[in-house]
Amino acid sequence: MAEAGRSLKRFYVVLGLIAVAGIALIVRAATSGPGAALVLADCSGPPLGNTPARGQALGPDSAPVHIVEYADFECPLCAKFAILTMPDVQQRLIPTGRLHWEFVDFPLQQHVNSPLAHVAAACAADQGRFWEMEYALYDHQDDWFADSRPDRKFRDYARGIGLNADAFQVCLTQRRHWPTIEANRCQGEKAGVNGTPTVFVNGRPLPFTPAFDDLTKIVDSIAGTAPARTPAARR
Amino acid sequence: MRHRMTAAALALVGLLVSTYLLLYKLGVLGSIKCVGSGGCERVNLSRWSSFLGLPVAAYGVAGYVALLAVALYGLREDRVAVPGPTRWLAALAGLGLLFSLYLLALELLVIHALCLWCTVSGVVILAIFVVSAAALPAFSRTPGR
Repeated sequence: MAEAGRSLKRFYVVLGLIAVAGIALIVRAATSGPGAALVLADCSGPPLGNTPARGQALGPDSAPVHIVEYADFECPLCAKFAILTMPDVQQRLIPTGRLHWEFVDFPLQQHVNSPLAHVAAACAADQGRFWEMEYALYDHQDDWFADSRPDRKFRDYARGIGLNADAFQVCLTQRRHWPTIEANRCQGEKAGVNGTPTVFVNGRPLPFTPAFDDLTKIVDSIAGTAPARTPAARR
Repeated sequence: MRHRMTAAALALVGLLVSTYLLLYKLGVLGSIKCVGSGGCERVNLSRWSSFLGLPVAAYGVAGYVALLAVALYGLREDRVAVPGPTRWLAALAGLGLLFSLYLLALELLVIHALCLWCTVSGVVILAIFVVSAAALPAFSRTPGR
């Protein structure tokens, strides 16, 4: 009987140890990073696979004015531009049919959470909500840029803009669009981009970040004279 | 008594595994450790990862809590010689095993991906069933309720 009691005590100790070890592992997994880190590749080397660069577009391809914006989700100036200028661009310039706008990823090396934010935006694009996610990421930039688990915030934004949360999480966890984002960044480097935001108007870089009035003037000045351009001649 | 200790230890392992899967499903964990190329994510984020509106892992958590409780109850001094807890262990583990086989069939035939942790849980529930079922004949040879 006493032997059985001792055996039971030993058993409870072992059970306790299993519980403590298991809980410690789960807590560690819950508080560690959001998964595999995304490291920016060296664009000066050989081409990165066969994934082509591809931005997120607004407006007709046949528009006479093509603007390409290289941006980083953690960059404060990009956030200011996205919040103050882009809504007017979307509501007042894009519907005129005179402007084709393209957002191209350009995550910067020093911005730790930016690569995952770009993946989050690309995953939102899968469900047709890139621009909503772009706005959410910039609008809440202060909340996630220094967060050790930005993926949780991104999932909240995904739910907030009506995405299928499970599909979004699969995409984010698998870093599904990272090769395209890398290709976009390398395209920017080749075009001479070295800061964000950088805006190209019909292939020419603007030396400043335009306000809405600047963009209106640019579109007005070109749209009256330039013929519709083909996609191949954009850059 | 030994088989109930084994069942309790296995149920605790199963509970930890199910909790891990549930936390991943709920988005508390940003990623899941797995072998192969994303099988755990595909399975746990597929539409088959919910059953009657609840995450499948939640059923696992509930099932293992029940198994652990029954096994520990069966270790009480006044219950050790009684077959009831072992019968309950075998019955609950049998149900869990059927559910695990259903999930395994879904993984192999519908989702076309295998989830390591779901397989671990399946092996655990199989082991609890085998250990409990194998102990039942011994009770029929000795008097008890």
